[in-house]
Amino acid sequence: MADMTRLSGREKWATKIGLILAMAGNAIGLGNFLRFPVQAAENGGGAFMIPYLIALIFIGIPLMWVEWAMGRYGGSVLGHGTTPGIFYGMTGRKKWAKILGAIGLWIPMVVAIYYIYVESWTLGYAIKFAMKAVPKIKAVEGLSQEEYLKPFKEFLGEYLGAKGKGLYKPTFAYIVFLITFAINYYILYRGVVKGIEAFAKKAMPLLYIMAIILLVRVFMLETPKGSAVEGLGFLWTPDFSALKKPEVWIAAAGQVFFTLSLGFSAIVAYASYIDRNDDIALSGLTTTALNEFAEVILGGSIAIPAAVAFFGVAGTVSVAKSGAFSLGFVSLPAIFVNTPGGMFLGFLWFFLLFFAGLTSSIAITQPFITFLQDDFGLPRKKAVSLTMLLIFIVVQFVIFIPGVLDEMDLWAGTIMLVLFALVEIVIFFWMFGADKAWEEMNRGGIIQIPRFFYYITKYVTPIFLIVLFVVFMKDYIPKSLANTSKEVMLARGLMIGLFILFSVLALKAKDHKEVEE
Amino acid sequence: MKGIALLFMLIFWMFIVSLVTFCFTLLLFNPKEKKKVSPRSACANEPES
Repeated sequence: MADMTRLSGREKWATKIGLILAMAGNAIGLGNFLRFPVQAAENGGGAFMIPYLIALIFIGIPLMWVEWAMGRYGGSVLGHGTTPGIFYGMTGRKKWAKILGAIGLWIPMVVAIYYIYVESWTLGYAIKFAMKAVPKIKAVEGLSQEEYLKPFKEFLGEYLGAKGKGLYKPTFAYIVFLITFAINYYILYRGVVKGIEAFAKKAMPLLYIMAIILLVRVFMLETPKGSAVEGLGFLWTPDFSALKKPEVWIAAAGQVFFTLSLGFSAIVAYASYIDRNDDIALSGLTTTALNEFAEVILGGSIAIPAAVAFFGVAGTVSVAKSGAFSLGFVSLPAIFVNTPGGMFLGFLWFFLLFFAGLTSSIAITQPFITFLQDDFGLPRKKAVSLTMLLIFIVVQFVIFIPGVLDEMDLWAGTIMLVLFALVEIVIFFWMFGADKAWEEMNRGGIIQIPRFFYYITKYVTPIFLIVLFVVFMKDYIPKSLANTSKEVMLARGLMIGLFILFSVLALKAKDHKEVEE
Repeated sequence: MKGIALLFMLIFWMFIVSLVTFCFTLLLFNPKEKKKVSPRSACANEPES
């Protein structure tokens, strides 16, 4: 009954380091450099790191191992690298498990649809800086922060088409989107080893080098208003009273969850290309460590310290309040323009974000490709073309209709992620069996996962996820449902349509026989 | 920069750097890794249309 021919036809990662860098690339995204510093600054500074570390141990690391283990088991035993087939196999062939598994196709696809577009803005800004086609306003005495930032806000608005009337045609932004889309297509088209792995091996070291260059330059920034060292002080000074606020704990748990790209199924799909007896315990931990290095050390030392050096502590508080997006696309360009060598720094900053985004977008596009290959027997190139065609069609709504992106981000990129991670843990640890799951997590391990994590993963992580899910529902759902504008309803229609499509495909998918061990 | 901020920053930075060093040391010096598949043989697995 062993169906080894089919399984041997699946690609395998060529090198361990390639796998780890691709996984780290998946985890390291725009959030590491933009979302983390803002969250830390707004939620108790250094004290934020206490709930952050606790969430990392109780949610982040266990879920990381669970997703790696599910993926490797799916790819090497079930012949499915995505959740419809994996859930089906792990629940003893229950049809409903395929529908639940379809959420694991839906989330990464919906996110990929808008993420590739957002990623294209970073490339667009990098090109604008390289061409020196950004506002060149001097930070003179007497000019208020608001006045100084205004041209940069307008510049962003123009780039995104806010000034357009009717159906806006942002030519430059659209061309850059096409280039970004083509780059994603090309990498994925070349396959797991020649495309994703080969790219990660070049892109990830380059990403770290770019971030270190920026960090060194930012550390040298000093103006009459402040310095980067003061910025680090601002970011790291602990406000212990923040620990009494439940919202700070939720913010920390949410940040850990998003930064590690948990619940996206991308880790599951990537892990399905690992050999049956290859290590995942140490590899998963290394991926987490690399992500934390990029987030806490590099991400925490660029944007906020630069803002404090330029605007002072008071000015940075208002910058942080305007959100991570504004920090990255309005405040930092404004700072770089007034810094010696600023055009190069601006280019480097946005190119760094572009690489961070690109390594993540290829990862979240991969699950649907894996699904078409494994469950419908499509050759890689056809599967990639079909996936990208679907993305290309739906992304037009995101580009041309305002409000669609935010609605998709709320449902697919926030709420459903947490729910899906909970489903993963319940199926893996409670239905597949905790002992079997534990054996899977440790199989071939270079390190033995401490037994303490068995109980954490089985009992504590699901409770954390339930709390996070309930809080997210309470915070976001009533506000969201109150909005019934045409644009938002269209976004919801698109998302429901995609979910129905993926559910039907999941139900129609081929059932593979398990490989006997 | 106040002492407590510096202390917090250094503790977390050192924790992360130690974790990265620990992981890579184990990966690099693990005998199992020396038997890894070469890229050439892995490419031979690649299913193409």
